[in-house]
Amino acid sequence: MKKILVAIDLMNGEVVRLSQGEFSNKTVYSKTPLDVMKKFVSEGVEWFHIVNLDGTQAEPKIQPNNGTNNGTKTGTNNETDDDSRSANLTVIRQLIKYGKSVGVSIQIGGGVRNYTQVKKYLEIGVDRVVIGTLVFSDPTEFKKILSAYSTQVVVALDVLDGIVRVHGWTKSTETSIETAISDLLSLGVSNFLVTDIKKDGMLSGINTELYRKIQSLLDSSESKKSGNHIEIIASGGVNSLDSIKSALEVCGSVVVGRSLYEGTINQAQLGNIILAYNKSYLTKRIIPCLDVKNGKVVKGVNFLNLKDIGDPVEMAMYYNEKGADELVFLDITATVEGRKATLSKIREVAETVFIPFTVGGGVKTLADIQDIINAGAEKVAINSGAISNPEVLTQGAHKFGSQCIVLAVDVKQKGDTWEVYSQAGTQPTGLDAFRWIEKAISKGAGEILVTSIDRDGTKQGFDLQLLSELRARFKVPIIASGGAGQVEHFAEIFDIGIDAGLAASIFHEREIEIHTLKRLLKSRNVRVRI
Amino acid sequence: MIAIVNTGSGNLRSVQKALELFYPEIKIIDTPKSISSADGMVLPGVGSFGDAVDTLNEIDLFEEVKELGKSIPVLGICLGMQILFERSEESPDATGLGLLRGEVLKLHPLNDTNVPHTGWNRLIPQQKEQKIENLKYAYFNHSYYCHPEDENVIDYSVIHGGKYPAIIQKRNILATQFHPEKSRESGEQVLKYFVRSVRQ
Repeated sequence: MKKILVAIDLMNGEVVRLSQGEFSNKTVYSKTPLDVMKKFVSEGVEWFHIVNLDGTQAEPKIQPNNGTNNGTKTGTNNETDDDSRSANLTVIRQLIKYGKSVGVSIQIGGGVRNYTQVKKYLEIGVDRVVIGTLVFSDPTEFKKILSAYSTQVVVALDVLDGIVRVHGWTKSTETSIETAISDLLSLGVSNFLVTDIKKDGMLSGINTELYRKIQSLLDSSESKKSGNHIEIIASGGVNSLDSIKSALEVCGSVVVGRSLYEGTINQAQLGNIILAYNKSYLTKRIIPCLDVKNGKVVKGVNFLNLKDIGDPVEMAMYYNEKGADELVFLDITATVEGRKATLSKIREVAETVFIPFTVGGGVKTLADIQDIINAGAEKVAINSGAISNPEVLTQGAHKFGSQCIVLAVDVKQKGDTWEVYSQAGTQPTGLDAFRWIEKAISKGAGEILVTSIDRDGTKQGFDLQLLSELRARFKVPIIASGGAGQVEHFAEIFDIGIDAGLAASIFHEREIEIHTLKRLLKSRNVRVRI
Repeated sequence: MIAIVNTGSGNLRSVQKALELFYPEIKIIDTPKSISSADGMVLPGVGSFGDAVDTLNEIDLFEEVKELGKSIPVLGICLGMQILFERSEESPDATGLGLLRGEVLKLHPLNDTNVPHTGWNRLIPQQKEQKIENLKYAYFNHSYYCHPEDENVIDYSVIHGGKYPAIIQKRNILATQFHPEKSRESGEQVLKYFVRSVRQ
């Protein structure tokens, strides 16, 4: 996912722009920053880059790199009573509050001098904090921040002729950008905001050569090889849609500022380019799966604090609270009485839980679908029933819309292909998975829940080969199931465009908390509902 | 009394239950007589445009709903939002309620996005001051979208291959393309707002 960050530079509570970092060279764009932000939000801007320019002017002592002055940071606390500075802080709080209320993400920088400041920003809802000078002036403090908040730290590197400068660009670090990045990567930094000083605020186009150089450095780095997510944010010089495009060809992200305020890129153009790069803001779904038998959840449940560990309503409420996006109930009851018990539980769940859920298991006829929908489920999953009678998909889709009809399919790899199994994965059908899914979609299935029998229960990760081939072939939403064992496994399927990840035991046994999973996915640039 | 109009296909109970949290009397209605005393009206939504309109006609509610919809607070949900418009690509022969000007179009799988649009998406405020605030994510599940003649009625949009209306407000009419009854906090805000307008 490519990010277009809109810069809001604040000074004395106003939106301003400095040319090449000169405080004397200031243009005021707006006296009402919140309105500016609202306008960008309405165009679909998802990320903001806020700079507290009143913070950057503070002149802390440069500390020697030997760390003799650890922990005595009182002299550099820049939250003074100064009017201009407090005007800025009020505005910043306003922007953060608004941004949080509408679900956009914010990174903030400018004069960040210590751990406490970073902590405060993150506590009030900022997603990432940008740190510049401190990285060089007080490495010990910086490391403390990094070890606490690694993925939420963005290191700002301002570059002049290949050399990193600090203190509002006034002082050279005498470190080359390549050395700086290599060193910081080995410390565990994963986000870099790289600004070409010569280009900044000049509307002269971005320095693609610089970013290309950095990118090739990254490609050969150990950190990248070990699968870490590294983000380079290009900044300085964006003057047209083309320069946004060329920045995003090389980098993951780009900051756009002056060109928006000066109108070289207008709002509608911004909206269109955001759309072109982001396509959809649909979040990836995390789905716990509950196997229900005779109205009770049956397998792999290990809740520590719940006495009645197998009640579907209680478990649904629990997951509802914990951030699950959806629930899947698989009714594995064999008897009519058992099915009734499950349906009455489904009804109860529908009345208690405010998230969508899908019910499957033993669905054979339109009447089965109707029973489940009437009980309050959002969607119905059909597996073996569709294999023996594909028309049930058509009937269901006609009556309730294809978005209600989920094809559940259990597959096993067979050479280069995958074979469909029926009867809870026990009976090979001879059907080719791709051909079957294609047919099912043409019959009316609106979503695919695909379980890899090979991976199920292994916790070794989803079947990525299967899933990426499915993704390439089909446009309907795909829910991946079978093999989830860790956060990385979810990230992998989302990276290849799968819509949802389903798992049972890792959630039931609390090996992974959904909140934690989502936070980690977000830091890996996956869109999740938090 | 808030009337949930039974447009034929399923899942009215969760809408009813969700509204009951904020309002004492919520009835599922399928006859003209029982709707006349309603203080507010909900058009729920699963199914197709044509089926929903046909059902309204079959149970003799089409004209009633259209008439009441000019005065009392109305909440249209998903398909219930769509039938408030004049027509739909989904069922070209069917006539919608026409309480909102415009049409309903098919979502195309543009830009590699998938159709139906299923899942949680972020609501994007379109007005400087929102009538309903603090909405973030909502649960969508649809293959068609509303295209109002007047863009100013769009309160929130959603991005999925294009930018589409998520919440529309015009006078007494509130309509959501998503399912408030499945959208946790955001859904609660919408339902509360609707109930407040019924009480006023």
